[in-house]
Amino acid sequence: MIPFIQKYLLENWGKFEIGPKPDKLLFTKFADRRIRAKEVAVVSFQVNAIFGHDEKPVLILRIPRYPENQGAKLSLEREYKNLSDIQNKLHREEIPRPILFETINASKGLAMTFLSGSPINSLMLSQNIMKAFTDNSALAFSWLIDFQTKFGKGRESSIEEIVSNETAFYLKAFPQNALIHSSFFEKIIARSKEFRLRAIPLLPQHEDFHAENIFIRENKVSAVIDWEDFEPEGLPAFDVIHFIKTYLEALFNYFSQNSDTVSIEKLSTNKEMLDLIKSPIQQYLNALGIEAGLMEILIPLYLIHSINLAANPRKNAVGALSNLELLLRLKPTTIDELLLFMSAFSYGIIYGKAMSASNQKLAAFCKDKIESIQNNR
Amino acid sequence: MSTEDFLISNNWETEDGVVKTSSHPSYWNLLPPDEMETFLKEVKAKSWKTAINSSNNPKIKNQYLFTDCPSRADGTLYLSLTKESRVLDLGSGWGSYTFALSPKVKEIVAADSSLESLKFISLRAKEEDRKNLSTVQIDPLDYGKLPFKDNSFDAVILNGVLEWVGSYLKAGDPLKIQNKCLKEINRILKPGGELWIGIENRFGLRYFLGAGDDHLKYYTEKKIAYTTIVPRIIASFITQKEIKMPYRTYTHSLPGLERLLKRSGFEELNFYYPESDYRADSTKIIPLNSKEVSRSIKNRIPKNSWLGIFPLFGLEKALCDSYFVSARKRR
Repeated sequence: MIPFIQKYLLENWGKFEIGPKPDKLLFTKFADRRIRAKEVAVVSFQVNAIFGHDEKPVLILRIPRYPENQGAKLSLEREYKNLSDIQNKLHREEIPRPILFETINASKGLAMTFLSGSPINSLMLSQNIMKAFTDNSALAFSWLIDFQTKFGKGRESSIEEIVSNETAFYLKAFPQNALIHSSFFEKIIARSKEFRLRAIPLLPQHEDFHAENIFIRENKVSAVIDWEDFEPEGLPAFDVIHFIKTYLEALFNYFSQNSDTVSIEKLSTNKEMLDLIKSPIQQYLNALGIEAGLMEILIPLYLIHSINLAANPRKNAVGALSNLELLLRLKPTTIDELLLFMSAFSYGIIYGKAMSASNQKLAAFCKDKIESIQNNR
Repeated sequence: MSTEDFLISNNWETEDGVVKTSSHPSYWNLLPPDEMETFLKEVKAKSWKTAINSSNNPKIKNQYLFTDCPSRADGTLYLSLTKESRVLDLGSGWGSYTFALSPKVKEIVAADSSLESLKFISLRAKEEDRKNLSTVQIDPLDYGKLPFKDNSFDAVILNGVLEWVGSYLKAGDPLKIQNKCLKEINRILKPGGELWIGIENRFGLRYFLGAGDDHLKYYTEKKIAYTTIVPRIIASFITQKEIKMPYRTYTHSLPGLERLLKRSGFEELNFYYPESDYRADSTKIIPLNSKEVSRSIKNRIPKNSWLGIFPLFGLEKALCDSYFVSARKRR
């Protein structure tokens, strides 16, 4: 496949307006993040241009693993459309510019400009993890506020309507879970009715705004990639909750790999730490004029919407789906609860490792922690 | 799928859908024969996925990764395959590449010396209605004879296989045996057809850092290190002492592999560096002539190690742990 694409790109180079034609192109295939089901996977390449002895990254190329797979084709179509719409409206330097979306050798291929920078996930584990979190979330959220403000608000919707739509979508996809969630959903719906008189504007959401998709250079956001799931009228605060949840999930994973129960406990229960985590969220809510009280609805809605997204046949992200479903069953309505429940997964991982290593003491400690979290629910 | 188009003769017997052309059948499988037989019965009785998932045998569970993992074959995107291609997966094992490539090409042929592995592929293919897939039992590649017609394949996959060529026959120079095997592959490729190889680098950085020889671990639980790096005569001395066998699983240095392929009639060689490992279920793959390879290897060389001398002479690319290679038969 790559030889056909290389030939096409070089033959049509002039059309792309990305600088002089190189002598040659080198294609580096990224590792598969294995989030989607393997059948619907899209394989990504970094394309470097060679000029004599110089080598320079110029494009990102995405092609379906299986050219005939409808889900993969739809993913590329969506990403191309979203990038085109956003760039036509905003001309943002930190968002890739789509270069081509063509059928080459019977396979769709999407190419976009390469943007440099270090992904936030590569900057997470500095000496002071919490300082890195504060710095990284401040940069990411200030970019997000600017983007959402400039892109513009969508239509206004009542809280009740948002909740009803999202839960109805979930129950249509997972009717077998209706009984499990009925009381929780009723509770959120009842709470949303208390906001009946207020409508809030829907806001543009990236919908996969996490550390691996946000790049930083010279202390500012230099690139935000992966726009396949972008929604111009999305669930308010979805991106912010997603960023926090996935960032802390990565930290929890790191701690559980190192069987570091002290850090897990600190991250999930220490008041100072929790205040530090919630502070950028509060600043974001203030900037966008979203009532802080709404978070108790927006957090469960975030989980429900994430499940709806992961279950989409276009992605079929089975791994993410089971994790999100478990979290939803624990019924978190605050960031504190969300973190506490996420920590239970980490204790679970360490418990498994401790059992394999016959470390009964550590296993018992983790078991106690998990039970205490479940009992407090 | 008709095998007449590519098999030299059509007078072969078939067993459970596998065309048996081998006069020297061999058994090469991660499962012992009795466990494999029980497993195949389970596959016949249930679906292949259920047979794996419901098995209590950890080896079978581990095998799943090598069976149903199309991302392992993503490197083949570097080949010029089309919907009209006929591809041979040589040394197909349980068919990880075979099944990954089946939806992308016109015909895929899984060939192996182990009948049992091919029976698994054949059962799975039948269950999944993969009409473009056929299975052929062949002699071990050491014999250097393939039952396929001249110029019959657009591509041949040789993933984790070349280094074993020479280890079945206990006599003769493994290098010459590999050379003969590659010439035979060249014969069955169409003019301009491509060969895709995945193989460890003899001088991989991890071997210098004391990792055990990946191929000797199939003969012994003992970790035997440095055998790939030392001259092969010394490696043989070590293996004779440790496992009472000559050293015959030859991997190659970068120039060594290049020479071997050119000697076997291949040209337009492109080398790639699988940053984790060529066997990994998903690896970053970097063209060897990219500067990123140098950066990646330099980052892995321990500080103050004598291995730091390699980058000083611009030789760090010689330390990749493994390579993918695409090579073309003269057009």
